[in-house]
Amino acid sequence: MTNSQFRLTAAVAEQSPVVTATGDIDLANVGEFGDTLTKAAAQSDSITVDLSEVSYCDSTAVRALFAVAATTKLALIVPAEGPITTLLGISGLDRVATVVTRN
Amino acid sequence: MTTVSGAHRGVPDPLQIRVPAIPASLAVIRARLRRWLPTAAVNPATAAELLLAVGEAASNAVEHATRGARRDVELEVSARATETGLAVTIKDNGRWHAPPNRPGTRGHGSKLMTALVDTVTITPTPDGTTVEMRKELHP
Repeated sequence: MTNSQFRLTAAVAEQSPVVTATGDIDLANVGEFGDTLTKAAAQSDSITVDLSEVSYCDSTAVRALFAVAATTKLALIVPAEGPITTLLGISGLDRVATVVTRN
Repeated sequence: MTTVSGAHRGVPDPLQIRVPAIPASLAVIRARLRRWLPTAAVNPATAAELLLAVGEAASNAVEHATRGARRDVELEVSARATETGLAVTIKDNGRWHAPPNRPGTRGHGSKLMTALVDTVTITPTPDGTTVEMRKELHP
């Protein structure tokens, strides 16, 4: 698994750090995803996580996001299509994070 | 790959996957399902829901069934067409651990599965756990 699947863009001026994830996130690489989130959260008290190019993610990714949301203000960018909205709704992650939909 | 069977027109050959219950197998299961679901005339939106429902069950098995198991745990995923939709079974030969129900944790796994497919039946036995899912397809 390459680092490029989870890219961290550092905070610039008033912009919070952005973690951009692509591809599939599952048990095999969620540790790396979580590490990137932790790194981003260490830079700022609010972060944005762009999941709009994520082709698959499940509860394991939600857990990593919940963990970071406990200490950091979290904004999520999610694709308009796909079951991710169901995933966020059922887990309640949409109540602790700001969710923005991208077409 | 499977050879030509006596399947009726539009009825796909059943899918059978057997993999070790390790994290790397989850991508293998998804890859096989992504190839198989279109053969079962499943549209992309429904395919994504099934992929997630199966992924949750399989991920849960990898995480929990292998804990304290006395043997190498295997995962078996099978999918077939029914008269009105699809039936998918995720079976492990590991140990069942009741999912904890804390917010934001794996306790949501079965609730999520139920939201994504029409029926979910989880049968834990001392020899492993079987999760059966049915998804109705509406043409």
